[in-house]
Amino acid sequence: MGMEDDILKDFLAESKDNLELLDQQFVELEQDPENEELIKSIFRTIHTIKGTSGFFGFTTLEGIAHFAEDILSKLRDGIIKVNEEITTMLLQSVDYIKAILSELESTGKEPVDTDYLDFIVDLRNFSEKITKSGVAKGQQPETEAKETGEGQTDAGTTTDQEPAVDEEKKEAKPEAAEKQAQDKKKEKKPVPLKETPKTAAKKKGPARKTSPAATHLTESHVRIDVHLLDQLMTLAGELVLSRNRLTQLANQLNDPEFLTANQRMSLVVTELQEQIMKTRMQPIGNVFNKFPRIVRDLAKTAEKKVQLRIEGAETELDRSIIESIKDPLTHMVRNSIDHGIEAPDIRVQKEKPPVGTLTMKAYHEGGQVIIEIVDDGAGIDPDKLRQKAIEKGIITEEQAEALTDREALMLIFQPGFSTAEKVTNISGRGVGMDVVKTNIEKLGGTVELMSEVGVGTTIKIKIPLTLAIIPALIVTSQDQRYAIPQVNLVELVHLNPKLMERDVQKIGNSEFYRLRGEILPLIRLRNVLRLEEEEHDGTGEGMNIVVLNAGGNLFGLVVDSISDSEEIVVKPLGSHLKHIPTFAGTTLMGDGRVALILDVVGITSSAAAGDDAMKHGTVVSTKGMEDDHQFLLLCTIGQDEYFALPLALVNRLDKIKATDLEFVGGKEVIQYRGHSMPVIRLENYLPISPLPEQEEYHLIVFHMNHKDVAFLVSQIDDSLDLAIDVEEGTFKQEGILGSAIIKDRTTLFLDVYQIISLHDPDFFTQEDLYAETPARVLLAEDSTFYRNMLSSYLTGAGYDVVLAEDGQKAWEIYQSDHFDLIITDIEMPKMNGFELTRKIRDEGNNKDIPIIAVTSLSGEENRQRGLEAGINDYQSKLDRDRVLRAANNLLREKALDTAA
Amino acid sequence: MNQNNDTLPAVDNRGNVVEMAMADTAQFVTFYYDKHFFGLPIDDVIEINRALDVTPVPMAPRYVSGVVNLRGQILTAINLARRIGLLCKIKEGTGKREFNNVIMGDREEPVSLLVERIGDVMSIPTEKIEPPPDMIEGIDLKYVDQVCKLDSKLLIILNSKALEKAEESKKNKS
Repeated sequence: MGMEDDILKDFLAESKDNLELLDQQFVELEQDPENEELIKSIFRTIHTIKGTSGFFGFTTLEGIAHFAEDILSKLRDGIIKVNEEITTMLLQSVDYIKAILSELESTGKEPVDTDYLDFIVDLRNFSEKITKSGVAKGQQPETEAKETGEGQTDAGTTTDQEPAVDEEKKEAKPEAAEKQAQDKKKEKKPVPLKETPKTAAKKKGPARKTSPAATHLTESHVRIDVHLLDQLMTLAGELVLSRNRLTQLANQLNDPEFLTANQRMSLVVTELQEQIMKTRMQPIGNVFNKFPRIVRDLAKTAEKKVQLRIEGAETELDRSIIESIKDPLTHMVRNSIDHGIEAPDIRVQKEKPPVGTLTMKAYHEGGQVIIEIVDDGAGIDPDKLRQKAIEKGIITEEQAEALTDREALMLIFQPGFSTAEKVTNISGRGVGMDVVKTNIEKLGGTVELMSEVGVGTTIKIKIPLTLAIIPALIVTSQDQRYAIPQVNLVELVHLNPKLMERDVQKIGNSEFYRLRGEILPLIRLRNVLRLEEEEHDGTGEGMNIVVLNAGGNLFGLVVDSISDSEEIVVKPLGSHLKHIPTFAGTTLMGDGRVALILDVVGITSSAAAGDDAMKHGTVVSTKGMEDDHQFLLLCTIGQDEYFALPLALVNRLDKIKATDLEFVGGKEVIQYRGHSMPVIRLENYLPISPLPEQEEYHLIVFHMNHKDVAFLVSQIDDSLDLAIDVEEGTFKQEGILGSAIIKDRTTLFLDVYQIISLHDPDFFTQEDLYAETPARVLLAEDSTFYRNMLSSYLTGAGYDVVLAEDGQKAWEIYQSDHFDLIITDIEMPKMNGFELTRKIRDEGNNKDIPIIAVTSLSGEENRQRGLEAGINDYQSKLDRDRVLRAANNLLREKALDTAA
Repeated sequence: MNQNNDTLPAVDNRGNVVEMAMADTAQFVTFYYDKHFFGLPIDDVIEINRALDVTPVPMAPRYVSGVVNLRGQILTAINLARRIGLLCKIKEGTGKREFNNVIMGDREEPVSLLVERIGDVMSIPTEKIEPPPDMIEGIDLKYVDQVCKLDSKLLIILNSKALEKAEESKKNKS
């Protein structure tokens, strides 16, 4: 019911506005009868009313609108011309429509009154008449109409009454009321809007006052441009700041009278601000109201019995947010009904009432709005989730065991995850909760899930009151404050000088911090912003690190100091400053000064293109495609062998003494963290000068396939975030993916996987290959570096790999050959991965071939688009283990499908 | 600030055409930077504000001094001298210097022009307004609309459109 009520409300509000306009337009039309635009606009309004009333089954309204539309359509088509008579008739129709609408608003029903029916008949006759006359006499409709009018009572009556309408319109209500009282039936027809409802009401009997309906129709709501509201809000904020200053002054002056006056003003200002904030607020009920119907339908489809309870529908939040939470909420409700609540017979077995209860609750808490969706269904079993996640290759078994139950529950928000045993038409397509989570996070909110097996599930969403205000962390660098959106924030680390020395490694110009064993690249905010370096390095005071998440990559931002977390109002930067990638906007601080909001993703890219690389004259081109951006680790062997490898592959960096190296079974190993780890000297596999004898060596440690292995190098130089663009050819050989000029030096890109395989052919053996015969893989990837790397580890795992340097090529090759699997990059020239997938799914000869998309950045949006395009799996290029596992899983599934 | 438009005659500064009923004069907001004397057509100026606090924006174009807060609206502050390439000793990094803000341009997104000293509003007979000479020492002529020779000095009438226009050369943020 709620939904219909809503639509009705919208319809009434909209119609009212339009009808007001109509009055005006008709008058204009009389003056300018040729104005086609005007006629069309009037026609549209009436047409909309007709359509909507038909939808609701308001037959009287529909009838009036229909015949009015009829007349209008003839006007529009030029069959007849506007004259006073026609205008009067149409205006009368408008009055009747208004009267009906006002009745609808107060009672929800159409008025039952023969007046209206009579009018419809009149209108119909009139319409027919003018058509005839219009067709017959063409240019003289007026005379014609009048003549006929005398013959036909109905039409004649209307003509006569035309002046009365005008009069009444001009005159005040009381008179009109009087008139109505003494009037006969025929005079009631043209009564203007305020009277008809009264008449109707009187006839119906119950004493209902006219005034509410009348005022309702025109005055209770005003439409205001949201822009204007925003401006008001800004000004109110500014007023608060001025007030604050004044208060300070008042306190200093200590004049009692001034203080009192100021205090009063303070109160008013606060009140004013609150009220203005309210103008943008709407009750969440506007969304909740749509659910009873949705729940009913879903329950019916799922053959379950569900009772919906709504609490806190009056809770208010920003309009724009209300609109964007509707879909996520629908999704969660679907999930609850489909997976949560059990079928009635099962519920009875479990000694639960056969009717399940779904509660939607909203309330305010700590400046946020909390929405809870609670069901008393079967709950979610964390163990099942773990199992499923392992099956799907989302996590490894070790990871699964390490997860707490609570963390395990959060797995359902992972992309590609669906616990539904069978896919129903309600949910279970694997595109679901992850989207919900992303959407909520886009709004700056969070989602939590609590569940107890057999008892039920609670989903708790926290969202900010408004979108324009986001929580942010305020940091300082060179005495300027900057705001970092809390969404990107992972954790804060303060290092005292001692810890700093131990855990921060400086490699070339880059720094790293060892955060619980993971290597975290550090970016100094002042370097990113190119602020002049202060004399003292600040090392004496330790280091403040803000650990941030930039699209899946973690990095540490080093700032001078960290202040509070604050709610800030986001304001855009002007056109002169928009292009600076480091900033997302500006905000006003409590003292009226401006602070810049940092764009976390922008910082990483700008750090890459930063002075570091530029000073050294890096030639590596920074292509626009973010896809190919990677943190690279640069290292040397001896004096003049330069190497690079993706930092993401590296597990840790370390230094060891030459004396720590031992030989075991002909292989070099080192005791590392309690077990012996093989150490690889690159010269054994690459044609390079051997590693010179050193007292200390640097160790690059990899953790792959549950094993550790390390490369031994002379020096670790630097790390850079660069767009990788390698040349193959010159250095094409085993273990090398290509070369590039980095900092004026030819640098070889190491094929880490291949080198490890060369060192220990058994290193990667696992249940890698499903098929007996090598599966054929078509690999589409535009970056030479990644193409070589992927092909190297795929070939290493036993696949038969065919390469294509863009989507177009891949498509051509695909058509002329047979493959078992496609692995494609997303961003490619000519035809990207989405297009390629779509093309294969739509036109290919082997339509359901498994497709894995690989990317270096795991953008949620991409993932979503990919799934829509028909991509089966989505993996990071660098993660060999996962790519292989995904390939293997998909091939196995496919084989099982074929077998079945 | 709006009353400017009501009480003062409309001046079209774009061409040499000046629409006025009275004796043909145009009004200009004038200001100084170093020894130069500048003017902007009064209709292009929204308001004048004494010393707003400028928050520097790192990595901004050189002519942008930062951003200012004008009653809750955040405006880009453009340093006049740097913008027009004025060759005068801009005392770099000498701590805080007080500037005056001439808020000008498009009402949707105005900018604040930082100038040293504010002068008077001047009414100038249109016939005294001339096209700019081929060269004015150290000023990029694309920002100059017209000039007017006054008794003691030259009034340089600036082109507000050129002043507020963001340079396109930079890539837009992706």
